Amino acid sequence: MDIQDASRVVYICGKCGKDVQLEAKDIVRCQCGYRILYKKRKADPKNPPQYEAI
Amino acid sequence: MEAVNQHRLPAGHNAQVAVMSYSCYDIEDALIMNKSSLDRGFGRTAVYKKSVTECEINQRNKESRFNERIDEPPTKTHNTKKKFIKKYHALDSDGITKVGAQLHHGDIYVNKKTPQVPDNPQIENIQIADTPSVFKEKWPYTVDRVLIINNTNDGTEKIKTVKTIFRQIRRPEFGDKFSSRHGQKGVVGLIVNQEDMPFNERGWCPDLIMNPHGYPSRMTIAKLMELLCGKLGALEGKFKYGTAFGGENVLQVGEELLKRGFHYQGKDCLISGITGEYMECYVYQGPIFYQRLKHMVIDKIHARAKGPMEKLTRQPVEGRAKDGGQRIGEMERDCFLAYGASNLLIERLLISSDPFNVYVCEICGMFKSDSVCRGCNTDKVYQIRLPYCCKLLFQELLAMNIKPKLQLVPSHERQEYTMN
Repeated sequence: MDIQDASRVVYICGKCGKDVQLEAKDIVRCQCGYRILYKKRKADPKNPPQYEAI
Repeated sequence: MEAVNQHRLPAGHNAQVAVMSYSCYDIEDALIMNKSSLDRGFGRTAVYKKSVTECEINQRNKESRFNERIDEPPTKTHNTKKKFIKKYHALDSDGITKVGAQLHHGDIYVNKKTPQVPDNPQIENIQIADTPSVFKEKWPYTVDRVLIINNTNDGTEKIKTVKTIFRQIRRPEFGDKFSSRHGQKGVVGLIVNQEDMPFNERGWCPDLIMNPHGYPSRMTIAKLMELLCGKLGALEGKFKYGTAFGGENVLQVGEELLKRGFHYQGKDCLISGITGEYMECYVYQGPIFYQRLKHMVIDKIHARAKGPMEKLTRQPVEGRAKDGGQRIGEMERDCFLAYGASNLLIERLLISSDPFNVYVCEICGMFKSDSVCRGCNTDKVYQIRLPYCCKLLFQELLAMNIKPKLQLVPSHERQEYTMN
C-alpha cells in the first residue's frame, strides 16, 4: 500500500494505522477489516499551512 | 484536583488578578482584560464543531443506483462560472473536503448527490439532484479531521457516513464569558492596553481586573484565599491549598508573605497606568485560576434589516438561526406608550413588521377585493393600511361568524375622533 497513486485519495485506518487507498466505488474498509478511516492530511503546495496571527 | 490531574493539565490560566475598580466598564461582574495578555495567549481556545453527512439508501427503490453518493467536484470548463467553482475549492477527488482546508460561509465540504427515483423505474436516465453539505458558519473554520465510516453491517452496501470536525482558534473579545472556580463568572467589559493598566514597582501588571463588589454578597472566601495562597505559592514555587475547608492557614500565609517583603494581607501598592500616580488605596492582587466558558459573543451576535418572514402572519421570523428579527415585545411597547412615541410605535409595529393594504367598504365595513362593494352597491370603498396579522384576525373572526366591522373616518377628522 506504500505505492501511492497521486490521483487517488489516501486514508489512514483507525485500527492498524496503515495507509489505505480507495476509489469512489470501493467499500470503505481497510485490509485488516476495520471500517473507520481517517482522511490523510496532504501537503498542498498552493496553500501551505501557516500560523494565524490572531 | 489530584484525582483528575487538574493541577497538571489545567483547563484555564492562572490569571494575575487585581481586585479593584477600573473605568466603570467592570460593573455587574464584568472583567477588564489586559490586551497584551491576550496577545500572549491568555484565554485562547480552540472551538470544535462536528458535522455528519450520511449517504442513505432510497426508501422508495432500494436499487443501488438510487443510493445517495458522494461525487467528485465539478471540473473547470470554459463555461463554468468562477463563483460556481469556488464553492468546491476545498474538495479532493473523492468529493470530501481536504484535511486542513479553510472553509468559509457557503463552501461545500461533502459533495453529496441524491438520485431521484422516477415514476417509471424502467427509465435509464435518472435525474441526480445536488444535496451537498454546505458550510453555514459565518466565520471561517479549519477542517481538523475527516472520518469515513462504512456503517452497514454486512459490508456489501456502499453506504458511507462522513464525519467532519472543524476547528477554530478564538481569542477573547468583548462579552466573552470567564469564570474562576468559585462560581464568580463575568463577561469581558473592556480590553485595555497594558500601558493603561495599573502596575507596581516590581513591574507587575494584572491580566485581569475584577470589581470588588463581587465579594460581599457572594461571600466567596475561598476565592480570597486562593488569591492569597496562590501569591505565596508562586513566590515559594509550591502548590498551596486555597480551599476554605481546611486549606492553608491564612494567618501563616500572611506571615510568610510578610517575610518575603509583601503586605501580609496580600495587598499591594499600585501605580495608575493612566495618570502615573500612586493609587490612594492598597489593591488586593495575586493569581486566581480562571477558565473560559463556552458562551462566546461570536456564537450569539446577530443583526438583521430585511429578512425572512413568517408565512402565516407575514411578520419577521424568530431566532438567530433563522436570521430572525428583534422582537418589540409587550414591555418594550409599554415603554413607547409611556413615552408617547406614537409614530415610533406605528413604525415598529406596522411599517417594519407586516404592512398590508386592503380595500374596506365604508357602509358594510368589510374587506373587499377591489374598489367596488357589490353587496352595498357602492363605490365608497377605500384603501387602508393595517397589519397583515390584523387582517388575518378579522378573517378568522368572520370564519367563526363574528363580524368585526371596520368604521372608516376621514383622515382630517381623525384627530377630533380620537379626542372624543
